[in-house]
Amino acid sequence: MYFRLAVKNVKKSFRDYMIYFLTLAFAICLFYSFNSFQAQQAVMELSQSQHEIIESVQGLIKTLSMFVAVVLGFLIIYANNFLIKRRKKELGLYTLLGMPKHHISRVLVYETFMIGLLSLIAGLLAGLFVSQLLTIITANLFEAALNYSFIFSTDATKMTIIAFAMIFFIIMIFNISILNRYQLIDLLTADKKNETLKAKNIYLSILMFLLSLVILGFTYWYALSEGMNALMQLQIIAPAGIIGTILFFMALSGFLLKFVQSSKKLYYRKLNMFVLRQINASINSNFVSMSIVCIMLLFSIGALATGTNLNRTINSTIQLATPFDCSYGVYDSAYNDKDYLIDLSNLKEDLKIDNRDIQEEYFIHDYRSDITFASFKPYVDDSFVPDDQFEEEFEVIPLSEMNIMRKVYGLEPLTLKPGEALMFTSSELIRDVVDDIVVEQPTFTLYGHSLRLRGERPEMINLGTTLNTSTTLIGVCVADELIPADAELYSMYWNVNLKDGVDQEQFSEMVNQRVSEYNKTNDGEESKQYMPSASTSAQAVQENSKGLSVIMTYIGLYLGLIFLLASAVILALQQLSQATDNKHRYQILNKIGAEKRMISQSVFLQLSIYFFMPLLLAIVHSVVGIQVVNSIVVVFGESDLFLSSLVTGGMILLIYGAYFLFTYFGYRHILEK
Amino acid sequence: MTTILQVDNIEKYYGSKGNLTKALDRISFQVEEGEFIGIMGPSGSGKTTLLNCVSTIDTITSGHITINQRDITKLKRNALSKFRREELGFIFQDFNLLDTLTAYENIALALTIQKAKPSQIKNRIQDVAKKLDIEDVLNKYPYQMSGGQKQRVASARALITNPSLILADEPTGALDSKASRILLDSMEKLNEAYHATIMMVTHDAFTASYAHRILFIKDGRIFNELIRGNDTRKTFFNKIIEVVTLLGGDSSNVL
Repeated sequence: MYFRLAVKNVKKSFRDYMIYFLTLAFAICLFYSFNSFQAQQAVMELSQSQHEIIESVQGLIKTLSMFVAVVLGFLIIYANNFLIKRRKKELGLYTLLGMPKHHISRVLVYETFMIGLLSLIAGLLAGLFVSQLLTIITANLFEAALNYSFIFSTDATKMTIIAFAMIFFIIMIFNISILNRYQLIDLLTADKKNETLKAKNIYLSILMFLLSLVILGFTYWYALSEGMNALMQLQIIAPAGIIGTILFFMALSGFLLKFVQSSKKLYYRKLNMFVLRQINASINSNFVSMSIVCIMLLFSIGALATGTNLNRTINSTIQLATPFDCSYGVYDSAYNDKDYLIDLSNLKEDLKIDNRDIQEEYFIHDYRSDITFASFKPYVDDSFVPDDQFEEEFEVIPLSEMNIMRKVYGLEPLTLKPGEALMFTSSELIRDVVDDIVVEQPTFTLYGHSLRLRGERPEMINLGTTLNTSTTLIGVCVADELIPADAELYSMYWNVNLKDGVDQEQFSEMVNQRVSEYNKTNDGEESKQYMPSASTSAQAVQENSKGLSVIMTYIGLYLGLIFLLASAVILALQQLSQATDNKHRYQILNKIGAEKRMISQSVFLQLSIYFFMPLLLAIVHSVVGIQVVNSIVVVFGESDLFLSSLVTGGMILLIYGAYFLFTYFGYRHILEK
Repeated sequence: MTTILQVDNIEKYYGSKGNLTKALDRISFQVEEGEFIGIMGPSGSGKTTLLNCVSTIDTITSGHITINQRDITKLKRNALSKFRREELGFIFQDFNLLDTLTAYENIALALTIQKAKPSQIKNRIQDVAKKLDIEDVLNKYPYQMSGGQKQRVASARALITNPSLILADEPTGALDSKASRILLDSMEKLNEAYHATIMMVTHDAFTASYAHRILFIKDGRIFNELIRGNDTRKTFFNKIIEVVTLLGGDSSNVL
């Protein structure tokens, strides 16, 4: 009998339950999809290192999932509270009719169980579908071949069921305790309680609003001017940003009211006056949630945009970092305590490597010089050059070898007039700084020759295939004969392109293997030690970069979507519960002759302000934030903000917009009831 | 004198075929411009149904209601909304003021809903506030006002749109006797000095004694009609009491 009552209740308050159900199902879907990551390996052809990446992503997601489960738990309890609040009167009626409390709790337990089970099934089904999509995305990111078949992850299913069963269990206990706490009279008269209204000082809120703008402006300016170092200054930026945001929403309604009031035309237009007063009256209960939602949206936008952007960024840098199939590169000062051979002229003989697998090979020499940023001081924007790099010496490359590199990168061969030199770099970050110097065409002295820099924008050139992209901070290319025979080597690269069908990674491993064997046999002889593990294959670089981008993309999507969901749900539920409280006001409007359409418009306007003001501020925050993050991401190469903004915007529009519309129609439904 | 309200043989049925209740049973009457008419009757007599039908909130089963030469039984839903806010003014028992708005804004709302020109609003409000003696509470919120002030603000809201007909539903129901008297005095003033046409539903004989004519309703039919003529209010009040006794309502309807 109680079960039937519960079934009837769920059916009857289907619309109330809808938003709760939707949220649960969506959360479960996300939870399952991301945890099913490991199972995707089954249908993709992946290399060993890619398998390792998937393992580490899976581990990371598992850890994050604990945090996500806690967030979702709070969210679901919040949603549940909303439902209970709306049904207090009904519960009071049961008590009044003489139903014992433990029987009422039984009804509630049945209801929670039913909704939980339904949403679990719906969420898992949706999750199954979404995880298939995610597989395609992963395959795409890895650029791996896909032998598609349907994927089902028992692990993820188990985890999802356990996590949500725990959440539902907590909710059941919560609901029972709510029943015990309330007095019958409170349950029956729950909807008659009114917020006490107090007149607020409008001028104070204008002052607060201006103050919030000043604080936010300062925070933006500070973050932007710190650029790359902004992350180090988070203890200043974060609190200032949060205080500014809270003040903004505290004062927003008062400011809007005063602002619109100054235009009689706008203020006395249809129900504008009513909407603004309405928002102003309930801002005390709303500004905290609006601030929280704004900050969560900022996280969400940041995570989504960075996640989708970094992927593109990294892909664009792979090309720069892999000019050859395989490189063995050594450099001075890497291992300070031990001197390794820098001259690689005898490398092949020493390691007994024959030319069987080698298509073509190039030795690139990179010499020390005595020029630094200090030599070009008047032209250097020193805010962009960290102090420790100011004395970093520039490297010198002979023209003939430079032209080999230019050919690899698809550039025209270079000719230098006598007395001319050209700069290049392999760091995107430093390119503009070098450009500042180059345009001045300064003269300088190198190895006793007076030279003039050519005013061309420096090309991006990496002297070999390397895992960290920059081989050369700043390089100077000069004619071969200007470099004296006794010039000291800074670094040297043995660059190899392999014959078709030779495995790059195996070749590179073989080189490293031979190096360690050679070092062992010549142990103790300082002049006969090669740098270990210095061989890198293009394949390894690609897989490593893609691994990084996969990790970033997934973490970004996962956290971004969860935060987005949480912020949309909080706003939706808050507005819907206020719809019930505000019902009498809309009834008055109806009685004095406001058309249904006019009332709907005012609801729309009101909800738009609640939903889109936090989004708007979050977007402004994130534009600044992404600007800062971008200055760091540039280290990985140039980024494409446009596409990632498009993807991020699309996801936000879809989820946030769906909740907005749901709230709007739910609100109208509550008013019409 | 023109007829503002013409009620023509209206009927209102509730329920289904098997169990039919006639809430209004062939009622006819008319209200002339500038009249102050009272409707009295015991609980369940149909007076609120009558008011709801006249105010276009409810529909009738048969018959015709004509307000200001327009047959409202033939209007569509959206047209009804428009008609209601242009031709009718309402005064409710529980004031129905918006607690978030000041008195001034509450009155202005009636105009903004009509999409009146914002530039006219101020003058019109000042004008109506003078008539109802509420100029000093215009900037107060409802919670800062007394019951009587609230009801006068509500009256101002009803009056400001220059409606053809003001409908008052138990306007003194939530007021003490002093505030009731002040409100009724101002309604009388509105009627006499500004020729507002008022139809007031009440079961309080004292309140009813301010009207010029009273229709008594019982079981959905017009039971009696009293015209004040040249009587003093005291005499008229006594006549009302007599009819109420005759109506045989329970004691709560007598006073």
